[in-house]
Amino acid sequence: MKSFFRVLLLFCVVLGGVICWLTLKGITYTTTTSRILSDKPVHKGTVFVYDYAHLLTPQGKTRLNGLMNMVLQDYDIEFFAVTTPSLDEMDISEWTNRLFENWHLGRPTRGDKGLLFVVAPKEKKVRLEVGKDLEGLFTDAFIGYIEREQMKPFFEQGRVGPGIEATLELIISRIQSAVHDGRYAPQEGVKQQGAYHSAGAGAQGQVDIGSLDYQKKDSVSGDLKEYFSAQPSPELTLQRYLEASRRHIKDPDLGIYTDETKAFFRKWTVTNAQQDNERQFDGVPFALKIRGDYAVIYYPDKDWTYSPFFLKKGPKGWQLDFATMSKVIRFNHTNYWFFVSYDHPYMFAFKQYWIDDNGFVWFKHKKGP
Amino acid sequence: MKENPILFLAIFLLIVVAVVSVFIIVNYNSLVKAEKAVEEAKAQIATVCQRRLDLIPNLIETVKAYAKHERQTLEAVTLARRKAEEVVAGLNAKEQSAPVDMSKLAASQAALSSALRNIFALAENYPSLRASANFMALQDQFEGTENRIAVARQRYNYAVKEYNTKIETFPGVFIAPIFGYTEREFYEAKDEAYEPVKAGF
Repeated sequence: MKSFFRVLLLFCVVLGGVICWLTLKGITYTTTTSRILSDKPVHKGTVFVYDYAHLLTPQGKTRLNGLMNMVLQDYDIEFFAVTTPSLDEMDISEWTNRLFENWHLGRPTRGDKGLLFVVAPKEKKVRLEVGKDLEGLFTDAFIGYIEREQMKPFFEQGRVGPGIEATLELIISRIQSAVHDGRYAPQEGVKQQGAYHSAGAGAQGQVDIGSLDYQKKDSVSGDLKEYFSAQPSPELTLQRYLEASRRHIKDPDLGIYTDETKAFFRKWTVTNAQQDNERQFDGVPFALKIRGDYAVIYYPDKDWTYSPFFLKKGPKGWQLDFATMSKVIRFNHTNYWFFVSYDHPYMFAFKQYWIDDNGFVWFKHKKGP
Repeated sequence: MKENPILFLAIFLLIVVAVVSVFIIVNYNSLVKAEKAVEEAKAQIATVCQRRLDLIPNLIETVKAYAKHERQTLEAVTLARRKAEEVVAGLNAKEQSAPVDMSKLAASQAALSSALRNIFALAENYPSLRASANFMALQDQFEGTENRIAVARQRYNYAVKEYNTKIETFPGVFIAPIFGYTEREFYEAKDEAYEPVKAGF
């Protein structure tokens, strides 16, 4: 009899324990958001990308983490990218602000210099929120512009990683010109955060991720095709290209491009922001070197944000060779161009200059004859 | 000690007074801090509301350039703006918030939001206006400012809640009236239900 009661007692205890555990589990029901909020980042400069919605490839994440680490080191700005499978019925502005405060974005910086980019594919929304001390540097209009004119075409094609990278490039450009003009000094300030890290600045937009298989590039009319055909001189062809960019013309089948370049542009995501960027070349003095059917237009008086143009002479005139440019020229995290390969017919233009081990051409340092 | 009960009593009273004083000081300081937080949050609301007001002239000029004949809608915004500006200026001027300020602010801001919504709605009929870079930048700026207002409002209400709780619970409930600390008003958003502003508001 005694042993029966002992077993019964044991059973009740175990049952009681199970009921308590189940109740607690019910009380602490977690939403996606609460799980994400509790996943506090370490702020040690290694991970900046939190891809809860699985939109990025491992290589994409690695690239982004590397880039964002450099942004923190060079410019004292902490940029996080977070994708979430659900906003749990919240507005993206509320969700982003909550995360910004909860995760203390900008902690390793001198002040509240955090940037938070949130992608919510289910709700088809994106938002980039700007920390308190960066509001002057990144206006709402600027953030809205880069979301609409740079990020959106990439995201619509499902190219989330490249889209974030391309957007980051524009952010870096803006930081660079601010540093150049003395409007921003990365090392200024005290390493301390305020009670609130963001006042709700930034911008958001509607994006249907992966809704397009390819970017729609409208063809131009016959008259414009005639206008944007191969020109008798390399300078004229470049002028036409800069004008096409200014007018946001994305038609890949223009005479100013070599055949390989046309094929390249058919696949390439061309954004309005990238085309607006080409305005930096307007009216800037350049150097021109021609050897046979190959020409190079380059900018020896400018810094490495001014990449060269390669042109090839076809039967109808000079055409731009972006296909080759895209293979042999790369841009680093500060938007400086450099060579990744010397195996192309345009090297003749750079023979007289010193090129360092990283592929940067030093125009001010001429080699001996 | 037992030999001199009066001395014992005196020391005891002294200790009690000291403890109570410290208690009052600590709690008073906490009340002051809580009220300062409310004032700071209120100042932030005034700042972001002013920011929205400052964007309006540019919006009116841009819309006028493309939609000259929408005078009524544009005038409604100008009127709402003037009214809102008075209230925001009052917000900045006063040191201690009078209870009527927050509801006045909510009403004038809601009226302004409504008038602005009408402008952005009419822009749908003018594709060249909608496509202009200037207008798109203005939209971004207005949306950004409205978000800042929403955030500022939420943080203000949080500060008010903390402060009100302090003066309603023990020990603040005793200390607050001594120093004249009274309950503060929340900023209730009325945006959804509001009607456009009428003359004589």
